[in-house]
Amino acid sequence: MNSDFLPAAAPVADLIEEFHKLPGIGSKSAQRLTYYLVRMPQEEARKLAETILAVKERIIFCSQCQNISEVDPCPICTNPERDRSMICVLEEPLDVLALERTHCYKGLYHVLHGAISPMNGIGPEELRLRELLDRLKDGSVQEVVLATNPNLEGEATAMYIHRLISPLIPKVTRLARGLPVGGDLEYADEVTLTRAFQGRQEF
Amino acid sequence: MPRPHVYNTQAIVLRSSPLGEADRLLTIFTSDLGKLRVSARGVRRPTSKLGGHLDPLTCSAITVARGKTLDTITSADTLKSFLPLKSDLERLAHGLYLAELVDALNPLEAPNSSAYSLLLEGLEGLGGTSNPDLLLRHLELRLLAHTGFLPELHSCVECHAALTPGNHLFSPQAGGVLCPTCRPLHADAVHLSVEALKVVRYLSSATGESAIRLRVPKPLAREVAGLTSAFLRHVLEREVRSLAFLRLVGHGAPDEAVSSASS
Ligand SMILES: [Zn+2]
Ligand SMILES: [Zn+2]
Repeated sequence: MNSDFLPAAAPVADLIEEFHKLPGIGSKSAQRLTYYLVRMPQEEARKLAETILAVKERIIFCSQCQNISEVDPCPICTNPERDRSMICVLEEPLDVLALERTHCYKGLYHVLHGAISPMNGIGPEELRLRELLDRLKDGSVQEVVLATNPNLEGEATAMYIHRLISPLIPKVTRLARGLPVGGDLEYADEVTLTRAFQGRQEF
Repeated sequence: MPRPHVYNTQAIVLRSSPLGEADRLLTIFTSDLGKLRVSARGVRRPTSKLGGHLDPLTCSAITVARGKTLDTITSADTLKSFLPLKSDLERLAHGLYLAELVDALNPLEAPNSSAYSLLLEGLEGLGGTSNPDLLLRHLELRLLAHTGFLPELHSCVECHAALTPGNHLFSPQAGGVLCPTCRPLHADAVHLSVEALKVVRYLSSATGESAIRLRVPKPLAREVAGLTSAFLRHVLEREVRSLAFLRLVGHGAPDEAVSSASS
């Protein structure tokens, strides 16, 4: 009986390990997901596996905005309704979705796929910056909005890009940083309050 | 050292990486307990009360609860945010380099209050000085002193002979200066000018305030920087990772990496 058990346990352990490598999955979650899959009907499991493969095979990077897409250029870059004089620079593809949900921005995007993190050895050359510079060459872009995260790495990235592109672009802006909706003023830190104050607007 | 179930301390965040859905794993340097690894729950959500108080290079008063595998920060209140440092790319690069050094030179849970004070003064000083490079040399040397790694700078590290001016060498491997007789013992020995030796000795014992008042010509500053970086590489057995970024944005230099690659 033991010899039957051992070969079966190895794939389970492998799957737990694979899940554990994913962002946001701790060892408990990895175990839970694995045992859920073990009990899943064969057909559903196959569909899941095929969906994962399809993502890897069919998803490419848009050669213009570097966002993930099924076609190149992506639907946003080819949409004639979008304002081609504006580019909003973001860290991750998920940030594009977040901004698109607001329906308040009609320009183009550029996804960096990361942020500068010197201590982790991630410098500007690891980001898709060359591609951004290429897009700015023809002079049609009038404004670049730097919308990296409002943390130290995002700020470092924004400052670096600002230094790099300000000679090329008439207007470089930074997404306003300030108090979150639903937050309490008394809990805000000094940096957030200072920047919220600097970014105040007429009522 | 056993810590109580809940403890209050003062800490500077050295580094931060995402953990789970919305948490962060932080490496912090505390005033009394040395370097610790702790978690901070929910801080990646914009409405987190803790988030802004726990960004890297922030000094906060914190409360920590002991956990089975990882202690968790339950409250944080900014004491110093070092905004001038964080608002300038070149100074920020200096600050990140200093934080990485403090992280690399201090083992976990080894109290080092002098290194803590040095980091605090350093982040403050780097945000205000017009001479961040020289201040950083001073901080590197003081940090080496506080962690027991300061190289010998006065007599030959091998034979203890007094140094004769203008005729001495420096070997990271030997851990300090060498006389010409002992040179063959260490292949990495390089010539060290008497001026550079004087600057290094001065910076390793002076206060930060006097260090930044020193006038050092560029070639000499480069020689001193070469010495400290070679020595740090030897002590850490690796390059300081933030050094590449510091070189890229330092000295108001043009941004070589990306612009040359794109042309
Ligand atoms: Zn696109
Ligand atoms: Zn000797």
